[in-house]
Amino acid sequence: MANLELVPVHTRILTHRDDIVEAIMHYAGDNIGPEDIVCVAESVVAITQGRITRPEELRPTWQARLLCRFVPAEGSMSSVYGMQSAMELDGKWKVFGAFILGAIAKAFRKDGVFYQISRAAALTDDVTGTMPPFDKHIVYGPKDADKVAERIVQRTGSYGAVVADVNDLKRAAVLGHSRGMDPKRIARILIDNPFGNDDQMTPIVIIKNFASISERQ
Amino acid sequence: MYFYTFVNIIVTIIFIVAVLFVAFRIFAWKQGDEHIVMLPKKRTPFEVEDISFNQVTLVSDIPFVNKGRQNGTIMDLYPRHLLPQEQFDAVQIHSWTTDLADERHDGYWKSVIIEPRKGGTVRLRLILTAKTGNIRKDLVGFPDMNIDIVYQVVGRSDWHISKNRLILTAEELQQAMRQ
Repeated sequence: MANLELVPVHTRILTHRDDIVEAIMHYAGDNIGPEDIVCVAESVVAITQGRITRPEELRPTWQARLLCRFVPAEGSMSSVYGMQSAMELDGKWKVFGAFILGAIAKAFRKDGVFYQISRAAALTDDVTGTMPPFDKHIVYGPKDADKVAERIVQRTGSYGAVVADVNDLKRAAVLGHSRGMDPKRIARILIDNPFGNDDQMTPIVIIKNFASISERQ
Repeated sequence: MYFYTFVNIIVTIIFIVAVLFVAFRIFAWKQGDEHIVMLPKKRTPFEVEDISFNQVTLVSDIPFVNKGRQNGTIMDLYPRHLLPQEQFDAVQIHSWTTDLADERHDGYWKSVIIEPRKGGTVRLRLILTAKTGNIRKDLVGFPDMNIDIVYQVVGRSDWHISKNRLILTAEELQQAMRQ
Protein backbone atom coordinates (compact mmCIF):
# COMPACT_ATOMS: atom_id res chain seq x y z
CA MET A 1 0.00 0.00 0.00
CA ALA A 2 1.43 3.36 -1.02
CA ASN A 3 2.19 5.95 1.62
CA LEU A 4 2.21 9.69 1.44
CA GLU A 5 5.80 10.71 0.78
CA LEU A 6 7.37 14.15 0.51
CA VAL A 7 10.22 14.31 -2.01
CA PRO A 8 12.29 17.53 -2.10
CA VAL A 9 13.86 18.23 -5.47
CA HIS A 10 17.26 19.88 -5.72
CA THR A 11 17.75 22.52 -8.41
CA ARG A 12 20.38 25.03 -9.38
CA ILE A 13 19.65 28.68 -8.56
CA LEU A 14 16.68 29.71 -10.67
CA THR A 15 16.53 33.25 -12.02
CA HIS A 16 14.27 35.49 -14.08
CA ARG A 17 15.71 33.75 -17.16
CA ASP A 18 14.02 30.51 -16.14
CA ASP A 19 10.46 29.36 -16.68
CA ILE A 20 9.32 27.70 -13.47
CA VAL A 21 7.23 25.09 -15.27
CA GLU A 22 10.09 24.06 -17.54
CA ALA A 23 12.44 24.03 -14.55
CA ILE A 24 10.10 21.61 -12.76
CA MET A 25 10.03 19.40 -15.83
CA HIS A 26 13.82 19.50 -16.09
CA TYR A 27 14.58 18.67 -12.48
CA ALA A 28 11.58 16.59 -11.43
CA GLY A 29 9.71 15.55 -14.56
CA ASP A 30 10.78 11.91 -14.37
CA ASN A 31 9.67 11.63 -10.77
CA ILE A 32 6.20 13.14 -11.08
CA GLY A 33 3.30 10.74 -11.47
CA PRO A 34 -0.45 11.16 -12.02
CA GLU A 35 -1.18 10.68 -8.32
CA ASP A 36 1.31 13.29 -7.14
CA ILE A 37 1.05 16.92 -6.19
CA VAL A 38 3.81 19.29 -7.23
CA CYS A 39 4.57 22.03 -4.69
CA VAL A 40 6.80 24.94 -5.52
CA ALA A 41 8.11 27.68 -3.25
CA GLU A 42 6.43 31.03 -3.81
CA SER A 43 9.64 33.08 -3.66
CA VAL A 44 11.18 31.03 -6.46
CA VAL A 45 8.07 31.48 -8.60
CA ALA A 46 8.28 35.22 -7.97
CA ILE A 47 11.97 35.29 -8.87
CA THR A 48 11.40 33.44 -12.13
CA GLN A 49 8.67 35.98 -12.90
CA GLY A 50 11.18 38.78 -12.36
CA ARG A 51 9.22 40.12 -9.42
CA ILE A 52 12.18 41.43 -7.48
CA THR A 53 13.65 44.81 -6.76
CA ARG A 54 16.52 46.29 -4.78
CA PRO A 55 16.47 48.98 -2.09
CA GLU A 56 18.74 51.05 -4.32
CA GLU A 57 16.00 51.17 -6.95
CA LEU A 58 13.30 52.49 -4.63
CA ARG A 59 12.52 56.04 -3.56
CA PRO A 60 10.75 55.82 -0.21
CA THR A 61 7.70 58.03 0.23
CA TRP A 62 6.78 59.74 3.48
CA GLN A 63 3.99 57.21 3.88
CA ALA A 64 6.52 54.35 3.85
CA ARG A 65 8.81 56.17 6.27
CA LEU A 66 5.89 56.73 8.61
CA LEU A 67 4.25 53.30 8.51
CA CYS A 68 7.40 51.16 8.76
CA ARG A 69 8.06 52.65 12.17
CA PHE A 70 4.97 50.95 13.56
CA VAL A 71 5.72 47.43 12.31
CA PRO A 72 7.54 45.04 14.70
CA ALA A 73 11.21 44.57 13.82
CA GLU A 74 10.87 40.98 12.60
CA GLY A 75 8.42 41.85 9.80
CA SER A 76 9.43 42.60 6.22
CA MET A 77 7.37 45.78 6.41
CA SER A 78 9.51 47.12 9.26
CA SER A 79 12.11 48.41 6.83
CA VAL A 80 11.35 51.50 4.83
CA TYR A 81 12.19 49.65 1.61
CA GLY A 82 10.04 46.66 2.44
CA MET A 83 7.11 49.00 3.03
CA GLN A 84 7.87 51.04 -0.08
CA SER A 85 8.04 47.91 -2.22
CA ALA A 86 4.53 46.95 -1.10
CA MET A 87 3.40 50.46 -1.98
CA GLU A 88 4.94 50.14 -5.43
CA LEU A 89 2.62 47.21 -6.11
CA ASP A 90 -0.55 48.05 -4.20
CA GLY A 91 -0.34 51.84 -4.29
CA LYS A 92 0.78 54.01 -1.41
CA TRP A 93 -2.71 55.16 -0.45
CA LYS A 94 -4.14 51.66 -0.45
CA VAL A 95 -1.34 50.46 1.83
CA PHE A 96 -1.72 53.58 3.97
CA GLY A 97 -5.46 53.02 4.29
CA ALA A 98 -5.00 49.31 4.95
CA PHE A 99 -2.59 50.14 7.73
CA ILE A 100 -5.01 52.57 9.38
CA LEU A 101 -7.83 50.01 9.15
CA GLY A 102 -5.49 47.33 10.46
CA ALA A 103 -4.59 49.51 13.44
CA ILE A 104 -8.26 50.17 14.20
CA ALA A 105 -9.07 46.45 13.87
CA LYS A 106 -6.17 45.59 16.15
CA ALA A 107 -7.66 47.86 18.79
CA PHE A 108 -10.69 45.57 18.63
CA ARG A 109 -8.39 42.51 18.87
CA LYS A 110 -8.72 41.49 15.25
CA ASP A 111 -5.26 40.80 13.86
CA GLY A 112 -4.06 40.55 10.28
CA VAL A 113 -6.44 43.04 8.63
CA PHE A 114 -3.57 45.08 7.18
CA TYR A 115 -2.13 42.03 5.45
CA GLN A 116 -5.55 40.85 4.28
CA ILE A 117 -6.15 44.14 2.47
CA SER A 118 -2.63 44.72 1.19
CA ARG A 119 -1.58 41.38 -0.29
CA ALA A 120 1.72 42.88 -1.47
CA ALA A 121 2.57 43.65 2.15
CA ALA A 122 1.74 40.07 3.12
CA LEU A 123 3.77 38.42 0.37
CA THR A 124 6.86 40.62 0.10
CA ASP A 125 10.14 39.31 1.50
CA ASP A 126 12.62 41.97 2.53
CA VAL A 127 16.38 41.68 2.01
CA THR A 128 17.87 38.58 3.69
CA GLY A 129 14.56 36.82 3.09
CA THR A 130 15.83 34.76 0.18
CA MET A 131 18.99 32.86 -0.62
CA PRO A 132 22.00 34.40 -2.39
CA PRO A 133 22.20 36.08 -4.84
CA PHE A 134 18.69 37.33 -4.04
CA ASP A 135 19.50 38.06 -0.39
CA LYS A 136 20.18 41.66 -1.43
CA HIS A 137 16.82 41.92 -3.16
CA ILE A 138 13.26 42.46 -2.05
CA VAL A 139 11.19 39.62 -3.48
CA TYR A 140 7.53 40.27 -4.20
CA GLY A 141 4.95 37.53 -4.06
CA PRO A 142 4.19 35.52 -7.19
CA LYS A 143 1.77 36.76 -9.81
CA ASP A 144 -1.17 34.62 -10.97
CA ALA A 145 -0.24 31.76 -8.67
CA ASP A 146 -3.36 29.76 -9.63
CA LYS A 147 -2.46 29.96 -13.31
CA VAL A 148 1.10 28.87 -12.57
CA ALA A 149 -0.28 25.84 -10.72
CA GLU A 150 -2.58 24.99 -13.62
CA ARG A 151 0.33 25.22 -16.07
CA ILE A 152 2.35 22.86 -13.89
CA VAL A 153 -0.45 20.30 -13.92
CA GLN A 154 -0.89 20.55 -17.70
CA ARG A 155 2.83 20.21 -18.37
CA THR A 156 3.69 17.50 -15.85
CA GLY A 157 0.47 15.48 -15.82
CA SER A 158 0.40 15.55 -12.06
CA TYR A 159 -2.74 15.20 -9.95
CA GLY A 160 -2.39 18.76 -8.72
CA ALA A 161 0.00 21.60 -8.05
CA VAL A 162 0.34 24.37 -5.51
CA VAL A 163 2.44 27.47 -4.96
CA ALA A 164 3.26 27.50 -1.28
CA ASP A 165 4.75 29.85 1.29
CA VAL A 166 6.33 27.74 4.02
CA ASN A 167 8.90 28.54 6.69
CA ASP A 168 10.66 26.93 9.62
CA LEU A 169 8.33 28.64 12.11
CA LYS A 170 5.60 26.08 11.43
CA ARG A 171 3.78 28.42 9.10
CA ALA A 172 2.50 27.16 5.77
CA ALA A 173 0.11 28.78 3.32
CA VAL A 174 -0.95 27.86 -0.17
CA LEU A 175 -1.00 31.01 -2.32
CA GLY A 176 -2.18 29.38 -5.51
CA HIS A 177 -3.43 25.96 -6.53
CA SER A 178 -4.79 23.98 -9.42
CA ARG A 179 -8.46 23.04 -9.58
CA GLY A 180 -9.68 20.52 -7.04
CA MET A 181 -6.96 21.10 -4.47
CA ASP A 182 -7.77 21.75 -0.84
CA PRO A 183 -5.23 24.46 0.09
CA LYS A 184 -5.65 24.04 3.86
CA ARG A 185 -5.00 20.33 3.65
CA ILE A 186 -1.91 20.81 1.49
CA ALA A 187 -0.66 23.48 3.87
CA ARG A 188 -0.98 21.04 6.77
CA ILE A 189 1.06 18.45 4.86
CA LEU A 190 3.79 21.03 4.22
CA ILE A 191 3.85 22.41 7.76
CA ASP A 192 7.26 20.90 8.60
CA ASN A 193 8.86 22.77 5.70
CA PRO A 194 10.05 19.97 3.40
CA PHE A 195 11.56 22.72 1.21
CA GLY A 196 14.29 22.97 3.84
CA ASN A 197 16.41 26.03 4.29
CA ASP A 198 17.76 28.14 1.47
CA ASP A 199 21.14 26.43 1.33
CA GLN A 200 19.53 23.10 0.52
CA MET A 201 18.22 24.53 -2.77
CA THR A 202 15.10 22.38 -2.89
CA PRO A 203 12.34 24.75 -4.04
CA ILE A 204 10.22 21.92 -5.41
CA VAL A 205 8.54 19.25 -3.30
CA ILE A 206 6.55 16.35 -4.71
CA ILE A 207 3.81 14.91 -2.54
CA LYS A 208 3.80 11.32 -3.78
CA ASN A 209 0.68 9.12 -3.92
CA PHE A 210 -1.65 11.90 -2.79
CA ALA A 211 -4.55 10.90 -5.03
CA SER A 212 -4.72 7.22 -4.02
CA ILE A 213 -4.43 8.04 -0.33
CA SER A 214 -7.15 10.68 -0.65
CA GLU A 215 -9.44 8.07 -2.23
CA ARG A 216 -8.78 5.65 0.62
CA GLN A 217 -9.75 8.30 3.12
CA MET B 1 -17.41 85.95 8.27
CA TYR B 2 -17.05 82.93 6.01
CA PHE B 3 -13.52 84.02 5.17
CA TYR B 4 -12.47 83.99 8.82
CA THR B 5 -14.09 80.61 9.37
CA PHE B 6 -12.22 79.26 6.36
CA VAL B 7 -8.93 80.71 7.65
CA ASN B 8 -9.59 79.20 11.07
CA ILE B 9 -10.14 75.76 9.54
CA ILE B 10 -6.97 76.00 7.47
CA VAL B 11 -4.92 77.16 10.46
CA THR B 12 -6.35 74.36 12.61
CA ILE B 13 -5.52 71.73 9.99
CA ILE B 14 -1.97 73.07 9.64
CA PHE B 15 -1.60 73.07 13.41
CA ILE B 16 -2.82 69.46 13.71
CA VAL B 17 -0.50 68.32 10.91
CA ALA B 18 2.41 70.14 12.54
CA VAL B 19 1.67 68.55 15.92
CA LEU B 20 1.41 65.08 14.35
CA PHE B 21 4.66 65.64 12.47
CA VAL B 22 6.49 66.70 15.62
CA ALA B 23 4.98 63.77 17.54
CA PHE B 24 6.17 61.36 14.86
CA ARG B 25 9.66 62.85 14.83
CA ILE B 26 9.84 62.45 18.61
CA PHE B 27 8.54 58.87 18.33
CA ALA B 28 11.09 58.04 15.61
CA TRP B 29 13.85 59.65 17.64
CA LYS B 30 12.94 57.64 20.72
CA GLN B 31 12.57 54.47 18.68
CA GLY B 32 16.02 55.00 17.18
CA ASP B 33 17.65 53.14 14.32
CA GLU B 34 20.47 50.72 13.69
CA HIS B 35 24.01 51.90 14.28
CA ILE B 36 26.37 49.24 13.04
CA VAL B 37 30.05 49.96 13.41
CA MET B 38 33.22 48.00 12.79
CA LEU B 39 35.69 47.97 15.64
CA PRO B 40 39.06 47.94 13.87
CA LYS B 41 40.90 48.86 17.06
CA LYS B 42 39.71 45.59 18.60
CA ARG B 43 40.78 43.43 15.67
CA THR B 44 43.15 40.54 16.14
CA PRO B 45 46.73 40.94 14.87
CA PHE B 46 47.30 39.65 11.36
CA GLU B 47 48.49 36.05 11.37
CA VAL B 48 49.80 33.81 8.64
CA GLU B 49 47.08 31.31 7.70
CA ASP B 50 48.93 29.78 4.79
CA ILE B 51 52.30 30.31 3.17
CA SER B 52 54.09 28.93 0.14
CA PHE B 53 57.24 29.99 -1.65
CA ASN B 54 55.50 32.69 -3.67
CA GLN B 55 52.35 33.46 -1.65
CA VAL B 56 51.22 34.21 1.87
CA THR B 57 47.68 34.42 3.25
CA LEU B 58 47.13 36.64 6.28
CA VAL B 59 43.99 36.75 8.42
CA SER B 60 42.62 39.17 10.97
CA ASP B 61 39.26 39.08 12.76
CA ILE B 62 37.43 42.38 13.12
CA PRO B 63 34.52 42.60 15.53
CA PHE B 64 31.45 44.68 14.77
CA VAL B 65 28.46 45.69 16.84
CA ASN B 66 25.04 47.23 16.39
CA LYS B 67 25.06 50.09 18.89
CA GLY B 68 21.61 51.22 17.79
CA ARG B 69 18.15 50.41 19.11
CA GLN B 70 16.80 48.76 15.96
CA ASN B 71 17.75 45.82 13.77
CA GLY B 72 20.26 46.59 11.07
CA THR B 73 21.00 44.57 7.96
CA ILE B 74 24.52 44.45 6.58
CA MET B 75 23.63 44.03 2.92
CA ASP B 76 27.17 44.04 1.65
CA LEU B 77 30.66 44.26 3.08
CA TYR B 78 34.03 44.21 1.38
CA PRO B 79 37.62 45.29 1.98
CA ARG B 80 39.46 47.87 -0.05
CA HIS B 81 43.21 47.69 0.31
CA LEU B 82 45.02 50.87 -0.59
CA LEU B 83 48.56 50.31 -1.78
CA PRO B 84 49.37 52.22 -4.96
CA GLN B 85 52.17 50.97 -7.19
CA GLU B 86 53.97 54.27 -6.68
CA GLN B 87 54.39 53.26 -3.05
CA PHE B 88 55.13 49.54 -3.38
CA ASP B 89 55.05 47.35 -6.44
CA ALA B 90 56.66 44.03 -5.52
CA VAL B 91 53.54 42.00 -4.64
CA GLN B 92 50.04 41.50 -5.93
CA ILE B 93 47.34 41.78 -3.28
CA HIS B 94 43.92 40.19 -3.11
CA SER B 95 41.67 40.87 -0.14
CA TRP B 96 38.28 39.49 0.82
CA THR B 97 36.03 39.15 3.82
CA THR B 98 33.56 36.70 5.25
CA ASP B 99 31.17 36.58 8.19
CA LEU B 100 32.80 34.32 10.77
CA ALA B 101 29.37 33.11 11.90
CA ASP B 102 28.52 31.94 8.38
CA GLU B 103 31.88 31.47 6.75
CA ARG B 104 32.06 31.43 2.97
CA HIS B 105 34.96 31.05 0.58
CA ASP B 106 33.69 32.90 -2.45
CA GLY B 107 34.14 36.50 -1.33
CA TYR B 108 30.37 36.97 -1.40
CA TRP B 109 28.86 38.73 1.59
CA LYS B 110 25.54 37.19 2.49
CA SER B 111 23.13 39.77 3.92
CA VAL B 112 22.74 39.40 7.66
CA ILE B 113 20.47 41.00 10.25
CA ILE B 114 22.17 42.29 13.38
CA GLU B 115 19.96 42.80 16.39
CA PRO B 116 20.43 45.78 18.71
CA ARG B 117 23.39 45.47 21.09
CA LYS B 118 24.60 42.38 19.28
CA GLY B 119 27.37 41.94 16.80
CA GLY B 120 29.68 39.53 15.13
CA THR B 121 33.06 39.15 13.53
CA VAL B 122 34.34 39.80 10.06
CA ARG B 123 37.28 37.68 8.94
CA LEU B 124 39.58 39.60 6.63
CA ARG B 125 41.95 37.67 4.42
CA LEU B 126 44.87 39.19 2.54
CA ILE B 127 46.61 37.11 -0.10
CA LEU B 128 49.99 38.55 -1.06
CA THR B 129 51.62 37.06 -4.15
CA ALA B 130 55.24 37.74 -5.04
CA LYS B 131 55.89 39.21 -8.46
CA THR B 132 59.39 37.68 -8.67
CA GLY B 133 58.29 34.34 -7.20
CA ASN B 134 59.82 34.66 -3.71
CA ILE B 135 57.34 36.13 -1.25
CA ARG B 136 59.76 36.61 1.64
CA LYS B 137 62.15 38.48 -0.60
CA ASP B 138 59.45 40.59 -2.22
CA LEU B 139 57.93 41.64 1.08
CA VAL B 140 61.13 43.42 2.09
CA GLY B 141 60.30 47.10 2.32
CA PHE B 142 56.54 46.56 2.49
CA PRO B 143 55.09 49.82 3.87
CA ASP B 144 52.14 50.47 6.16
CA MET B 145 49.02 49.64 4.18
CA ASN B 146 45.57 51.13 4.76
CA ILE B 147 42.58 48.83 4.38
CA ASP B 148 39.04 50.18 4.37
CA ILE B 149 36.20 47.91 5.40
CA VAL B 150 33.28 49.18 3.34
CA TYR B 151 29.76 48.13 4.27
CA GLN B 152 26.23 48.87 3.18
CA VAL B 153 23.63 48.89 5.91
CA VAL B 154 19.87 49.33 5.94
CA GLY B 155 17.51 49.60 8.89
CA ARG B 156 14.40 51.62 9.60
CA SER B 157 15.71 54.49 7.50
CA ASP B 158 17.58 54.87 4.21
CA TRP B 159 20.41 52.55 3.28
CA HIS B 160 23.88 53.98 3.62
CA ILE B 161 27.47 53.02 3.02
CA SER B 162 30.05 53.40 5.76
CA LYS B 163 33.69 52.52 6.02
CA ASN B 164 36.18 52.01 8.77
CA ARG B 165 39.91 51.90 8.29
CA LEU B 166 42.55 49.62 9.66
CA ILE B 167 46.25 49.59 8.99
CA LEU B 168 48.52 46.66 8.33
CA THR B 169 51.78 48.13 9.53
CA ALA B 170 55.17 47.07 8.26
CA GLU B 171 56.07 45.88 11.76
CA GLU B 172 52.88 43.81 12.08
CA LEU B 173 53.58 42.13 8.74
CA GLN B 174 57.14 41.34 9.76
CA GLN B 175 55.93 39.98 13.08
CA ALA B 176 53.38 37.74 11.34
CA MET B 177 55.99 36.45 8.89
CA ARG B 178 58.35 35.55 11.74
CA GLN B 179 55.75 33.32 13.45
